[in-house]
Amino acid sequence: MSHERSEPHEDRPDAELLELVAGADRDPAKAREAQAVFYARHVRYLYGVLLRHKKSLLTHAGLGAEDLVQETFHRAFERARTFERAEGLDVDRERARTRAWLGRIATNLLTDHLHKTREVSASHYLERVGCEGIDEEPESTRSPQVRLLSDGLETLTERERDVLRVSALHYRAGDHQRLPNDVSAELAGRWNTTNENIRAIRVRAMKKLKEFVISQRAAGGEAS
Amino acid sequence: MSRDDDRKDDEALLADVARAFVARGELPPTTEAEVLAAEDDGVEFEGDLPEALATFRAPKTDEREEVGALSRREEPKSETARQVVSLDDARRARDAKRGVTFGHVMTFAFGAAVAAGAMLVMRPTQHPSPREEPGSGAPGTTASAVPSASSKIEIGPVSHCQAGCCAGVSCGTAQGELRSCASGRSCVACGDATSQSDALLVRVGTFSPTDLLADEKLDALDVCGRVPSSEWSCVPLRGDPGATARARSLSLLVSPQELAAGLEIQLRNRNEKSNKKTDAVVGHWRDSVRLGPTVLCRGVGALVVGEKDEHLGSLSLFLDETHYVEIERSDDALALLRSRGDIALADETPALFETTTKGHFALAVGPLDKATAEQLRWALLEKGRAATVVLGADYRGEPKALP
Repeated sequence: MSHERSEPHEDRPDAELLELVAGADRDPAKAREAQAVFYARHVRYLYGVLLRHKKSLLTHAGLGAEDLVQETFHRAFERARTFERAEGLDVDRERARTRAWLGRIATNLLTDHLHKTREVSASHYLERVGCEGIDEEPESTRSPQVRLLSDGLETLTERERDVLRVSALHYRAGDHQRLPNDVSAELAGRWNTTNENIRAIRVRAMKKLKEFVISQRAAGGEAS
Repeated sequence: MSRDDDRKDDEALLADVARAFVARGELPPTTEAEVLAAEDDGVEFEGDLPEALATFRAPKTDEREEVGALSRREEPKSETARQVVSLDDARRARDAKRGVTFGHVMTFAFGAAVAAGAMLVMRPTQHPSPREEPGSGAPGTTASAVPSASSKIEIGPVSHCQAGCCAGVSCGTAQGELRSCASGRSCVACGDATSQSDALLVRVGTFSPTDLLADEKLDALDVCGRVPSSEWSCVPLRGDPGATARARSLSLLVSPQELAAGLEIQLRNRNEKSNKKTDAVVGHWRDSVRLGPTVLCRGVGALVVGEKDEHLGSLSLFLDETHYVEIERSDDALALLRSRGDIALADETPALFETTTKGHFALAVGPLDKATAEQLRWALLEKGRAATVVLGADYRGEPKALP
């Protein structure tokens, strides 16, 4: 097996490190060293990513960036077996694949924490974490549509952005339909309104974004 | 365009909106392309990591073992091996700082064959006789039951969802916003809840501050609560993410009548040096809380105001049941696991609780409202199995669900 090699852990690819972590019952010492190397390799990235949105969803989830970083690594090691390695990737793509997987764990943990009453140890969002679509086309993230929507979000009120941000988080965590009722109720409490109004705000915000995109395209904004 | 097409359009738009939030740095990147773009933006943290992240610490497996966890016999060999603190450990450490005394924690090694019933339990050491009065001093806490039957006992449904209900995901007749409950309750009985429970715990939920309270300040605040007849009880405003519901609850058992007389909440500065209690109070709220399906399902929204009635934020509070049907108590967890196999409940699941007093472990069902707990206790009695309704005041940590 690949992790039987005598290669120093520092030189091993992420997938091998995670294999060693997953095989903790066979060789706990190696697993611990693999954890340490993996952690050192990615902790600054994940902490940096989570610090960027410290003031929004993390606050509402009652989490600090440090808390989520710790929990993400903890869960990643628990779920090391679920990481799917990909053959033939260069170093950058391999690193990006691992970090995207960590991002999925963080996203789903954050989603679970927004459901305040659930015990995260039994997270059903975490069960959904996988590698499907992790290598989606780069264009999709830099498409004119996404750039326009990013600008369009600035035209919304903070309340509308908040509702859409929570909706987008749940979408990424696998809730492709409407917001779960308890999350909608949480938003309603936060903005001192009703569940029905939260749904109306979401619909209105989506409509505003559509109209923004259409108007910008009509004005040639897309070309710029 | 059909409704289905509209839905697909909306979903596609939401997918792009999610990408836009990632591009703005408001959601974590979850694809390779998004990660590479974030790296291009220089997202990686530079400088000294916070102390909590600078070192990596594996979960303390001498305190808890689970499937796939690392062996507790092995310590990191490398001097450079870094450690990260699990949230459970962090919570324990913080609680310890707050003066909470922890005894030794039960240690489990549940193998992969748990579902098949092959469970290995690390037996704790030297505890006095089981089945004695837990002695927690909490009202209503009573002696544990003695197992009296070895054959399989089958108990039918006891939940209100079988006999009429108004709220919760398990309640088929729930309407509108009561179809699921922010409180976490899966089934709430209709009608006057005062007949269902005589003691409830007040659990602190989320606090959404206004701009008047700086984010940094929130970590230094406690939520304190009382009913007219009680002392104040406090918990940190911001709980640890992994905290159990009980850990987020005020040490305050309240009756429906006391809640109706008025629940009072204060936000207090934990580190206020002044001897005057009032100096520590940052905000307050008081109202009469009348129990009913809506309050039990959705909780209470407390609009906390400051000294000049300025709105400081909204605090959600939930009222949790706290009655447990204790089937057996023992210092031998393995014996309790065997006992669990002797009982088949139609709509409840017994769990193994660690206790802080005599017996060390309890096989119990709950939390339930008092009426349901009594119904279950009598059902067990009728089948020859002794059981006691307790308030679980000496139960510690999260229970271990037993399939």
